[in-house]
Amino acid sequence: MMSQPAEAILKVDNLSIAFGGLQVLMNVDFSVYSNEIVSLIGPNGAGKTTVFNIISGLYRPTSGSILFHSKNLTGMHPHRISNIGITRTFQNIRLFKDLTVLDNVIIAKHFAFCYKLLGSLFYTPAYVEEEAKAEKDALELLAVFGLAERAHDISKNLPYGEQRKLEIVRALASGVKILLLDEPAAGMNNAETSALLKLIHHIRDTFKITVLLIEHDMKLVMKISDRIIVLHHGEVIADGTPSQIRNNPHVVEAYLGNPT
Amino acid sequence: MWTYLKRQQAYLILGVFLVVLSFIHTHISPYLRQLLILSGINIILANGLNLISGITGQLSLGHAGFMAIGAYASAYLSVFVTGPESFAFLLNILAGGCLAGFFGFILGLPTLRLKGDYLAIVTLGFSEMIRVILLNMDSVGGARGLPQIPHNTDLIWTAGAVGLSLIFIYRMMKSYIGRAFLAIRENELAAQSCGINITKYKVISFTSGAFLAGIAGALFAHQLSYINPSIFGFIKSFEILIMIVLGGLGSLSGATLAAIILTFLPEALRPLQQITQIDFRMIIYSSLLIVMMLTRPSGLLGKRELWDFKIFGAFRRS
Ligand SMILES: Nc1ncnc2c1ncn2[C@@H]1O[C@H](COP(=O)(O)OP(=O)(O)O)[C@@H](O)[C@H]1O
Ligand SMILES: [Mg+2]
Repeated sequence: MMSQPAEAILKVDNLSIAFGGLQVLMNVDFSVYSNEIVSLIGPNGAGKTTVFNIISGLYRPTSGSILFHSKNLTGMHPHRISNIGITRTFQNIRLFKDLTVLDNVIIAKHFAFCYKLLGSLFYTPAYVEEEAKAEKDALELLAVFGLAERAHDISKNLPYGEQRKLEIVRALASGVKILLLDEPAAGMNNAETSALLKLIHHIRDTFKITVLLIEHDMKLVMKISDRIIVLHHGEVIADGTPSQIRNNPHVVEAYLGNPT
Repeated sequence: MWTYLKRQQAYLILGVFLVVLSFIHTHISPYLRQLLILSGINIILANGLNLISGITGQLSLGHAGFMAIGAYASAYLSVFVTGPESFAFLLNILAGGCLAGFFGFILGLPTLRLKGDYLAIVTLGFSEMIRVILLNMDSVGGARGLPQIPHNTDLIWTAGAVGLSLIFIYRMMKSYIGRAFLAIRENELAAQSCGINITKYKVISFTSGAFLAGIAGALFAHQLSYINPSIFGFIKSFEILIMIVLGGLGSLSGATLAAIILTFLPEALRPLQQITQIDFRMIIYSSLLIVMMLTRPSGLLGKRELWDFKIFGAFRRS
């Protein structure tokens, strides 16, 4: 990995977590570099979502830490981690179901508002300006993803694939620098999946962000990842480029030998 | 969004409404006047609870407790400190609201961090505690209650308070603050991952709702001229909850409509009640609730507002 810069944008440092007696993660250690697409793969129950839950601040690790540009995030509140620029999507979609598509995106722009309650009560220029800008930006973002026509629909009425897409748009709206995607292709057919993979590439390039992706279908992951990290029973068993992973005997044994 | 002209028109209508009200309020029967005032108080109560439970999704079963704090604090000030001047009345209402809001803040800060049904249990316990404390507080009359509160609340005061409360909530809902409330109701985890400090916004919502309950309580005390702790029992909290369930959790106009209906309906059935000697109120509430759950589980208006419906399209904002 000669081309990689010295400093990782995200470092998962010796992470362990246990729930009761169940050791779910054991010394998980990897780095993600700026502008990379890194995939976290592994069989069901390997602990992938748990890694995301710790990075996004929902769980506190038993030991180890999460570093963002060398800043320690461990124990920080989830909303602060989002404000710093690490935002996730969820394995089972979590939209604001009864709100419009547009509101879903504007809510993610929470950080962009500076006016106070009084501003809204008295319709101050700052209020009008900030609200108009947020709405305009949100509509533009939706247009990039072909969802502009749907802006005023209630989000739960979108087809499944578009709901997944909206969740990604929402994460982008929150000013994300590292996007964590938890099985974004789950429940999609082959055509939808390959469209989604193209989209992820496109997002990385246009928004200049870093993507950490969970996906348990290895064939798909091979196509888009710069690097792949394989998790098995809570331990990292391999970390390398797609071709390195493909030929790694541990991975073949642990994972390919036992397809899900 | 409202155009400039339309906003002017809305305030104009509000102004004309108040002027007309000030002319007619002395000409309508005292009975109707009292019902209108009670409707107004119930509108404030229902919308305050709606903010907490309907909009932010935090089930509170102790709204009457905050109402009691506002009622007692303002009444105590009027009776023992200031007397009945209008300006003092205004300050006393605000004092009642602020004290209730303060209690909401103190109660909400620790409990709103908890998940699930804890808040419901804690708020229920809190309002019962307030009632028992008032029962044992001799300085405000204990079980005998507090009499001779100046009869300051009239239709104008009530209409003003209702108008300001509704504008306050409506404008709040048009800001990122209101959207944060909705996001929390819809999905707490997603709200957090959108950068929303969910504890902070839950506390803001809870404190605002408690403040409005305090204002309503203060108006109530100065309308009835006599209050006692048993008025603010669980039944009262339940009554307010029914209003927002009936109107559609989360709907401003729904809560308002339901508050008016549930003030007038028991009165319409009063003759029947006198003949049969049965208290119809609770029967109405329970049967309404059952019928609603069977036919329109999301309330009269659901999460929508009156102006979202086609027949009211004429009033729709451009
Ligand atoms: N909060 C929790 N409490 C107890 N066990 C958990 C918790 N979260 C995850 N686990 C366990 O951790 C293991 C890994 O889960 P997860 O990270 O969701 O796997 P993956 O996303 O790789 O399929 C599973 O056995 C799961 O039951
Ligand atoms: Mg998972």
